[in-house]
Amino acid sequence: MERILEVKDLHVSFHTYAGEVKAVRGVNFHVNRGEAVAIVGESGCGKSVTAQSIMKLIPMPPGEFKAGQILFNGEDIVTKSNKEMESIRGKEIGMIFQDPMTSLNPTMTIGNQIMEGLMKHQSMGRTAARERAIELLTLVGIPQPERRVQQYPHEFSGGMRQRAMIAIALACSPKLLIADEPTTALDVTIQAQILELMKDLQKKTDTSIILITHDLGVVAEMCDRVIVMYAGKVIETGTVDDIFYNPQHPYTKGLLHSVPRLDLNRNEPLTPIFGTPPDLLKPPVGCGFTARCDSAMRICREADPEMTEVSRTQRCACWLQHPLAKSRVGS
Amino acid sequence: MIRYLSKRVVFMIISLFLIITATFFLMRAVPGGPFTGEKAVPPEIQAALDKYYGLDKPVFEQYIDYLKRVITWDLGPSFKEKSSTVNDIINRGFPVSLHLGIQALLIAVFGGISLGVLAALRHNKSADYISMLIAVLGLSVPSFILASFYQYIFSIKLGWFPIAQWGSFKHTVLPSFALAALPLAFIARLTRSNMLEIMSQDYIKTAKAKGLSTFTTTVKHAIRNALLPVVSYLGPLSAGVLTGSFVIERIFGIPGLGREFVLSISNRDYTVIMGTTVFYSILLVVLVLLVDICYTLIDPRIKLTGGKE
Amino acid sequence: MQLTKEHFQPISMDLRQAEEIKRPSLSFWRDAWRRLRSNKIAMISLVFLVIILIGAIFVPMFSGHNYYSTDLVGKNKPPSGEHWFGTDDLGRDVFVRVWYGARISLTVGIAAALIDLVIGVIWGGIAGYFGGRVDEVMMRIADIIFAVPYLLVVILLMVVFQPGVVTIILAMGLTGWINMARIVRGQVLQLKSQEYVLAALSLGADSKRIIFKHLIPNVLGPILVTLSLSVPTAIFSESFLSFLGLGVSAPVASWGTMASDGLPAMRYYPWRLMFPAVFISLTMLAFNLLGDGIRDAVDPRLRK
Repeated sequence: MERILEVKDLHVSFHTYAGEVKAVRGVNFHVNRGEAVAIVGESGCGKSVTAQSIMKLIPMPPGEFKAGQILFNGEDIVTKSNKEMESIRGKEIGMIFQDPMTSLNPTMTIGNQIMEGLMKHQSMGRTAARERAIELLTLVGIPQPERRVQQYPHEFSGGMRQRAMIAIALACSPKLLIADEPTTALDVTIQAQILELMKDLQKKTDTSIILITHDLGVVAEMCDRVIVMYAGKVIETGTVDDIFYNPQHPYTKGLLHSVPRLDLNRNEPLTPIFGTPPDLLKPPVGCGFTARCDSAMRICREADPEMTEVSRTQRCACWLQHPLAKSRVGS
Repeated sequence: MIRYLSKRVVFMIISLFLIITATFFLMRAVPGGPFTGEKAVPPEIQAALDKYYGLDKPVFEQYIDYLKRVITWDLGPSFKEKSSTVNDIINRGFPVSLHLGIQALLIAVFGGISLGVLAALRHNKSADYISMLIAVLGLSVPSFILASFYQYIFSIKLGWFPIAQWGSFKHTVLPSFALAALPLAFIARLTRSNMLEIMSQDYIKTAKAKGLSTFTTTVKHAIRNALLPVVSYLGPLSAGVLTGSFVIERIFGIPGLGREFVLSISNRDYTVIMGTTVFYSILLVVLVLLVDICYTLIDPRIKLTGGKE
Repeated sequence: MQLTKEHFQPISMDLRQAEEIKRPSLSFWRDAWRRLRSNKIAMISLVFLVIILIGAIFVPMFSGHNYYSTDLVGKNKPPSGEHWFGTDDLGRDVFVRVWYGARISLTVGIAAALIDLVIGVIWGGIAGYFGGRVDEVMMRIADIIFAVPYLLVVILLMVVFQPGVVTIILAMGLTGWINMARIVRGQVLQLKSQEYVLAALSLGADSKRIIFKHLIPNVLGPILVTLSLSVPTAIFSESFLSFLGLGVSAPVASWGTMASDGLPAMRYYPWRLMFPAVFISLTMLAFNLLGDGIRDAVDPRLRK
């Protein structure tokens, strides 16, 4: 399978008055053509920073790439200039943000906001771009697109705005679509519609998707593979089935247990994960999850676990995967 | 739109009415009266004067007369300058002040916006610090000091511009810049903080994610939105230019309405003080209304359903 | 590293310190003060203003000269060992007059700002708290006063009443509170509908806690910023009025009257204009910079 995106050992830090916050600390993953990959984790685990790094949208300063590569179509994005990025953003990679209320320019018509990218990347004239904008609005399921293109964001409902955002992101048929919590700010019924729309469009256009979310329900709905992040690192990856039916990392297990499920006994209590993630101003020496982990061992505080293969599709970074740990549990 | 407009106009008329009333009764409250301080006048002449200026009637009647005259735009004779009416004084002084004021406002708006945008784009770099230093100096140095400073450097020391008087374009340069300093500083700071706030908005990220260049993002998305609040401040800023003109016109010896007003104060020429105040109030209230209407036309978010401002 | 079985022994919960507080929490005001203190420009301004304040109190008391004695022989003398800032057209010592002027300017600035504060907070607080009709009427009145330029109103009041420090303070206090009232009203209105106040209420916080933890920090910040900027406005207005001949009357000196007197003699006796001008400008500058510093320090949105 063709790898459209490959992130290798990515380190991103932010310089604040209190010191260097190491938001992303060595992240590795890849996305294949036509695949939908979810990045899952709590707030502040570095998932949004990773996503924005792919677009080089991290403000620098205070942000800084400390190490690593982001290979998109085999070319390293980290070393690209801002000028070179302009022909990748919007054209090769599209992005949808979390809050459709603030992500659209309030003083520009929806039509103009869709047309901007088309006119830039596909050198369309105004008339052609306008027609394409109307087409796109139809595609994302906005009724009366001819009237809607002339309207301003405040005349749209939240769900409609997110549809318009999707139209903007997909305007130039990008190879990769990054959706950063696209449904978090929406009502549940609207969430389902937006997910349905994204799934539908992915099938039609063969776009790869990176879906960033903390909502495991969303993941099951539309993704092929899952990447679980914790404290700036990837701790487990696998197919949706791997992660849902055979989670290995205690954090992944905790995440799954803290989601209410209809298929389980209703008397079974929800188990939250206690504690808070570590402060990335002073990242812990060992595994970041030690303090909250039920199965923590001495080694967990001393050294960071390596990624180990669980199966052909699943990998996990946890000392419990070590033969010595397995033998102790086994004996 | 029409409902909004009529509501605003009604409110404007009420404000003007209250301002005129307050001015009238304030002037009545002056101890003595308009003729005290001059050398003693024989009682029969005093009575004749009072009759001429309508001061012999009861206060309430005078008030009604005054309202009537304001509506027909007849502000009455000047107490001190026997040959002119207040209307004459306004007609001769205002065009000069208007010329100076518009020139100063143009300098303030263009200079202030450029400085503010520059500062925001070069945030925390030397251009930002220098722009904000200029702005805070503009806020801190009173215009009469700035004006005398300009006169000292550019007229006395360098001889580039005439030190005072009014006539050619050269005469207008120093006073315009002195008058523009305060609003310029204000606009620069406002623009900068708006720009900084908007640059961190999500929709700027969306614009960048579309692949738009930094230039397009800045001009089409950031500056446009950052300037909207500046428009709404043009009303109060004009008020600042107007009061600023009192001292600037005095320092530069410019025969404008501001200087007439200051003269009328030191002469205690009550009809002129009253008439000029009324004139200034009408001017500003109308100006603020016009600015607000412009603002609602520019900003698509504002719906004109009346009620809210 | 050589891994042994020992490394894989479970550890108990207390060794992990799961619920430790990650960063020391600073109270709002301690945090604001820390940020203000680290702002060099604001601190220099503060020190400068303290020096001006001390000088204003003590220099006129201990100087060998006084602000009103005239000396027609020694008039318009340039700065010298005897008269540090020279003398004016009546031979009065400019140095002691400048410090005496500082008294007037600071008194006017601080007193007018305090009147603004009291009227503004009460007016805005009542309007915001009661809302509805009361708010409508009160803010309309404020709008009307605001429609006329502040200085124009002050000028009219000064024409009508006897000029003097008290009149100036009253005239400015009576007209300058609109801004404060608007800000307080806006904050109170906003706070009334804030979700975090609701959240605090639903968590069972009593009203004392809400007032001290939520209302005060959020309203006091903007009030403090407005206050710190209304002092220089008042100082400016006083010098403006004095410059127009509506301020304090001779022989009392204020920076504005001194600048006004010095202006015609600028070409020959520049020190008579220069010293008061420098003092007004630096004081205004220091107040503005300190105000900016306070604004940056108390704006909780900047808190990281």
